[in-house]
Amino acid sequence: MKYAVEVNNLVKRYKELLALDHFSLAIKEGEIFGLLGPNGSGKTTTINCILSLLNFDKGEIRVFGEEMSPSAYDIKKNIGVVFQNVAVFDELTVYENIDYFCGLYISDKKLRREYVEDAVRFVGLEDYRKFHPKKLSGGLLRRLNIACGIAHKPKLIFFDEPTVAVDPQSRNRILEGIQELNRAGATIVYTSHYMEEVEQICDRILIMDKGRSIAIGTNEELKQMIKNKEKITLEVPSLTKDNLAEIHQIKHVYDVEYDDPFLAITFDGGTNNVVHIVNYLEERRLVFSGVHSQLPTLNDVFLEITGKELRD
Amino acid sequence: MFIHNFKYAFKQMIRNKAAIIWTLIFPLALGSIMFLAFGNIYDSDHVFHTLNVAVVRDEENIYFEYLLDELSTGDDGSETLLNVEFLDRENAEKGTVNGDYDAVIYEGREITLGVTKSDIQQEIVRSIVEQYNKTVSMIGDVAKSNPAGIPAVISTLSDSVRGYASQETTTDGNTDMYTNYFYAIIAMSCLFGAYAACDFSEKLALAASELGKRRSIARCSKGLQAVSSFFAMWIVQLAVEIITIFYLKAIGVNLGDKILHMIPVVAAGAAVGIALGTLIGSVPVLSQGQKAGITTSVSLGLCVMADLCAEGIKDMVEHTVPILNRINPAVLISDSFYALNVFDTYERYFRNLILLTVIAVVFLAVSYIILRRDRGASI
Ligand SMILES: Nc1ncnc2c1ncn2[C@@H]1O[C@H](COP(=O)(O)OP(=O)(O)O)[C@@H](O)[C@H]1O
Ligand SMILES: [Mg+2]
Repeated sequence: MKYAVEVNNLVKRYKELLALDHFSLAIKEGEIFGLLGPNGSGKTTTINCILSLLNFDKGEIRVFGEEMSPSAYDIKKNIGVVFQNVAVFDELTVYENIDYFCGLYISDKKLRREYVEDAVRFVGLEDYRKFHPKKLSGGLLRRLNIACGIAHKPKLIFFDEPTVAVDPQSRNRILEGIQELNRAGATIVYTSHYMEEVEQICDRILIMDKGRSIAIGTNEELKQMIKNKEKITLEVPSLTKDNLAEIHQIKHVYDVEYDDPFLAITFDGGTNNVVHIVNYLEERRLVFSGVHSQLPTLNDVFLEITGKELRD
Repeated sequence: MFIHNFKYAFKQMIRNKAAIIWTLIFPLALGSIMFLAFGNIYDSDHVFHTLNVAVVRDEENIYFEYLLDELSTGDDGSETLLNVEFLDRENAEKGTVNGDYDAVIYEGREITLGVTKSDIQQEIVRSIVEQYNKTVSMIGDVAKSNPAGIPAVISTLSDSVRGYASQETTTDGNTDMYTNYFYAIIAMSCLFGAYAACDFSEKLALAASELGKRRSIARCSKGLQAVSSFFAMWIVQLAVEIITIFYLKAIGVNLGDKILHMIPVVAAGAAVGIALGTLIGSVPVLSQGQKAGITTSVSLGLCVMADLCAEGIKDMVEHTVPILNRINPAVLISDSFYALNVFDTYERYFRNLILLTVIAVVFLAVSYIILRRDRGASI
């Protein structure tokens, strides 16, 4: 197995704050790797350390099998980064910005022109080549930011929360674009605190919290890890204590929450769970409505491991 | 890579409106305004000749007449400053309009200035009148307590007036204070290059900006990016200074006749301005606003110390802490111009040039160290 990035026992402190606590990960070549965690969990710090933008206290970082350092230009030439905040020059046009950053990697003029054009097309900024960044809307600016990060066709690309404060349309475009880059051969590291996005595009996901890696695996694997396999919610008015106890006895039920009339039942497995519940209610001639079955989300994974919600 | 960086740094420079306004438009506007305000000093004949003054004696003022007497008596046969004639109001004014007299002074308890022929003469006569009025209260005090001291006060007064007149009329050295103002403006323009440079180095400094991060992960070393940006800024700044010099000359400011010798000075001056900005911009702990504030106060402060706003500060420093004048780039720039036009040797000119270069190198070296240590604990 070839790894694009390997991080071993990384420790990073900001004064007293322990931002990364013996953090490890291994990203395979060719995959879209998701780094999921709430704000402040250490995603950006991890990326900055991997890129040698930040000194760290302990640990080991290898990129494409080689030790990373600020002057490892042979490694750097294969890396592209799209940072959380837009980083472009206001005095330069869209085209010039992309050309400038691409030119920090590609010296050959003809090749560069091709690459820049590809990047412009890739993010759909063909009509804005001569625009200055100040004239672009937030979504378009994000796309320019992406183009500047990937124009040199890197083999390993980091996206640090590229969809924060982006309208749904641009957001979908960005996600599709990332998948396209991946299909074209790039290894992607994608950070986000939105579980839906990570679920949607990532091959493997690492969930982190407070600088620690708390779970890693594919979407399905992560959901297998937890007890919660299905959650059914419905409305049933005036249930008695006895009713609730009986429901608890139904096969695979492991948690029952009731807040008249809202009933939430969690299952640790089984099939046709809805049928079992509905049969029980009809047997007791209880009136119910709004039955809803929910498969677990990454939020449930996070909740079960950390005891708190992913969303802040 | 160098050319690529240079090209884009250059583009950014010439499109940076704020920087262009501060380094080019503002000094040119200030220079034009000052030139207009100082009037036609440069048009008039600098060679001094005795001024014919008509005095209208509304009321006898012995102190003032004593002063007039002093000023119309030449020292050991040299030309006198004034040639005084007492006339009635009508003849005095008519004579001045005709050109027989250079100015009219009304003598009374208060001394006032009447019609004058041209600005330079008005300057001299007015200064006499003002100096007198200023000294009157002092004379009054002396007169009460010590009547014998009056001649001493009067002669001090007449000395200072003579001094003023002779400074006013130096022809070969352009050492007049007006030219000094324009020198200070050019120095200011050089140091204002710090604005653009501060912005630039901030966009290169990893800890200071997202752009710095993006450039730090590039395949191209930051040293190379920094050096190429520096050259681009320096060339633009140098062009700005050359435009400024030729503009000032074109509108009629007398900068002396060693214009070409001024170019190495502004080249070194521009380098100092840019190095200063680079240094301020690279300090990681400061916010963008703080950096802009520091850049403004430092560059303006240095210019004020070089007599940009009022004359005398530079001299005062020279007499108290001369070392400050040796390390103040604004003083070094204006002093180089001064030295060019006053001295026949180039000793002081070269000394200043070397000092300017040393200052630029020191600033750049410190910024380099800061930028290298950038990969610090705080992004
Ligand atoms: N420059 C810094 N100085 C001090 N603390 C920092 C700095 N940058 C980040 N932190 C702290 O480190 C933790 C991780 O931050 P970060 O990596 O930005 O999280 P994320 O990207 O997951 O939101 C947070 O608690 C944050 O406040
Ligand atoms: Mg972050």
